[in-house]
Amino acid sequence: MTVRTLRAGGLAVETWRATRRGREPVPLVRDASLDLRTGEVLALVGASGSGKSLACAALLDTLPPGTRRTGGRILLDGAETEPAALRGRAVASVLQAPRTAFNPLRTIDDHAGETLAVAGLRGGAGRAAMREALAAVGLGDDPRVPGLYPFQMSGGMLQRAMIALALLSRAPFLVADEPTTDLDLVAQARILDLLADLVRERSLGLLIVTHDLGVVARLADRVAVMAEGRIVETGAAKSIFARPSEPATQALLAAHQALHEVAPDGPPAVTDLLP
Amino acid sequence: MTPAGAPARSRSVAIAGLLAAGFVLLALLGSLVVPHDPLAVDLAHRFEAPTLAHLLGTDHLGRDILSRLIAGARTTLGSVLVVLALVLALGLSVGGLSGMLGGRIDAVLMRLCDVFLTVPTFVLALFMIGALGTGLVNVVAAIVLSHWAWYARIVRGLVLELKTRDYVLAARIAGAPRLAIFVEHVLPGVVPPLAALATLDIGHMALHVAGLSFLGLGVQPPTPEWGVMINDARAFFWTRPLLVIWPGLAIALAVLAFNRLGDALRDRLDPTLVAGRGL
Repeated sequence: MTVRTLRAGGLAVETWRATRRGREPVPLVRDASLDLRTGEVLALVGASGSGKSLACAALLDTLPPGTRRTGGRILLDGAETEPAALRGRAVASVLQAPRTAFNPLRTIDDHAGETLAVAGLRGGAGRAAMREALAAVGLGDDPRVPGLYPFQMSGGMLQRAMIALALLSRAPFLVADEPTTDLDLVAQARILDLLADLVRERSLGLLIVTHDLGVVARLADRVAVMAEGRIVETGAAKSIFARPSEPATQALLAAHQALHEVAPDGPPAVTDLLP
Repeated sequence: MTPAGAPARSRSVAIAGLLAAGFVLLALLGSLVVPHDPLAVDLAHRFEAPTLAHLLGTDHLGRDILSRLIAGARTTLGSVLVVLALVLALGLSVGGLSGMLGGRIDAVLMRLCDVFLTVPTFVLALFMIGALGTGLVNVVAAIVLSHWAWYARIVRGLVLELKTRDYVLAARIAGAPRLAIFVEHVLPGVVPPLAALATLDIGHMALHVAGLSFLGLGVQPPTPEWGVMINDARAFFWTRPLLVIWPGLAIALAVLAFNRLGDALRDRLDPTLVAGRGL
């Protein structure tokens, strides 16, 4: 299987504030570059408000109102691509809050139909793909799942369903913005295991946004650290944990260690977080 | 949590529902159940009091009042239905476009709405009838033109609110086209409050149709229509008050029934929606 690449170069996002002399731009993300390969997990870490989520939104041009992308280009396998063209085709996404990411009036099946329409799969082929995707995320045993409404499912199940939808799109890359933040610890560990398995089995390129270094240690091959809208440090996960060179990275590590009381020389594992 | 007085309220809703269903049935099947031809003039039997042959009596030309009321239900409610269909179509498309696309298109469409919001129905109707002549079509057009902007505004507001939902973002990120997002995720949230509002407006629009026809601007005699019937009977108000009372009662009952039904629908669906409309 050939390795596919997704590169975002020099992403910049700004908002603006009104001053007496008119609008004044306020940069939120500055010159952020991300490099993603299939079969590899890149973790984007940073404190709250460091611009992680905005950088991901800029990648797909789904920035919230009041912000705009002012720079950067996206290269898919080396060819420049419109961000909107990536959505659902080259890049699938898993959002933070599964509870609100599903339309309460639509069943899982309805949501799958939407993804299948983008992927161009219809009828029997679509249903087969759906069964396969649900089985891959561990929801294949219960035949009722496709007909369930979001409120009939637990947060963990919904997050699995969202990952199944992402698989259904057949996109080679997956962006997961804090996929475990809204889940309890046991569900967190399971979702992370699932993501790790899927990356290995299907050779997905996973960009995982998190502020939890335990997640990073467990999953990531490479890490990009963001602080104040810039990517301050990039490197292999091991070397970043062993030799953090930037103050922002050191602060994140120190905070994590203070919280979980693990030895500074070894990367903390998610299992440490389990009660 | 059932508020006190709920049984009485639900009884009134049930009565309103039955009445409204009755009016709709009469409008649909009217020509099958009328006891007499509503247009048949019989000068030998003018101003007859209610009898078994003419349950509500006859008017100044000897026409059967009950038959004319039933036929009038079709004219009045039928034109209200046309008005509502047009208003909903215009409101949904303009409000939906405005809310979904935003930006300049939104600004232009909403200024257009602002213009239409400033024009009162009767003034617009008088203007159109002055320019194009009397008739039901012009009355319907005037009511549509003076009402669609309310619906467009409300649809736009709902769309803007629904657009911020996470599942809309999720659908966008999944690559769904905008039209699919509108149909799948936005429309289901827009339709229920809009249905409540439309039901609430049936009575209001029936009043417009009957009112304009009463003034001689809409439906023309001898076509049976409630407003026209009241106008016809005006001259005999002191001697034959029943001629005015029957169509008046029909209008009042229809308006009350649809209003109550719309109120109940609105209360069930969204108690905050119409409160801001300030009418």
